[in-house]
Amino acid sequence: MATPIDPKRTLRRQGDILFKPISVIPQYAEKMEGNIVAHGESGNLHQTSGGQVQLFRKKHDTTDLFSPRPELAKVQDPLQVDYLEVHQDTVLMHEEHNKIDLPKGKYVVVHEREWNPFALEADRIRQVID
Amino acid sequence: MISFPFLMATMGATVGLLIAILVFTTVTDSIDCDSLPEEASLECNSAVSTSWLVVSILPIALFFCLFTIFGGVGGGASMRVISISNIEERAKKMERMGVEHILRKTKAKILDRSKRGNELYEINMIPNYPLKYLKYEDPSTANKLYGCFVPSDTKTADEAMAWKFQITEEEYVNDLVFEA
Repeated sequence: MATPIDPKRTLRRQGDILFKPISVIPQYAEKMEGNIVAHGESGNLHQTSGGQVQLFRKKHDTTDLFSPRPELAKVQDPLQVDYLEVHQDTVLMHEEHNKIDLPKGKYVVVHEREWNPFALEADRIRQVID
Repeated sequence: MISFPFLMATMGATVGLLIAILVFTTVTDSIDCDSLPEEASLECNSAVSTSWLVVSILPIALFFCLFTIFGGVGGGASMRVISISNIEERAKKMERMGVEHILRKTKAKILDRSKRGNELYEINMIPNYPLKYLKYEDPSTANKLYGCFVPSDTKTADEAMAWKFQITEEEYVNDLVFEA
């Protein structure tokens, strides 16, 4: 007999994006406009279709002024979505990947990462670019 | 971006060129062809030209030798492909070159294969610096193959895949139900 799916634990993945259910959206998150959850260099988008969603991103300074080398401080991608609240069931679409259903709930949006063994130690983990 | 084999080969060719110039100037300084009788002078000049030809081959030969030794042919090309920063471009080039060919050329040794089709390899192209490489299929893009490096302390293919999405191996295996 198949194990019943627990919606509070169920993870969903579409290509380089993973959705992990959470109970609350952190207070430091700020709202974003639109329905595009992620955008790739190649122009392909992960975007919701139908339903009702609210996107959030982590709110923090775009540069770390306390960095010993501020010129190397990472600048946050202003379009990166970090959290998603689905008020009404929606579907996530992408040109190359199959669609996935996103039921009502709150999610943290995890962007796929990889290891760069040829970079300096501090820069070895990088977000996947597609 | 200049590749490591190309850089080493260029350095080798530069050293070869300096040696060639040194040899040639030494030869021309030690032989005075003009002071010889006409027939001997002609043969002397011919010998100097030949020495120049021989020494000029040195930097070119050094370039190609070093380029091959440092992996510019075969393994080096494969390493360049699996190190491309854009994952889609990397996947396309891996497909074009042939994944099995790349793994063979980079001397990749399989460490683990999971039920989900993920494969973890160890690549020993750099002395005393083993690299871990994950090969995985995309569930919805017609089983297109992808690959990426993962931290060197990774032990299983599913652990590597879980690391990529900042979840535990248990979560990856048990809770990742919908994949597209």
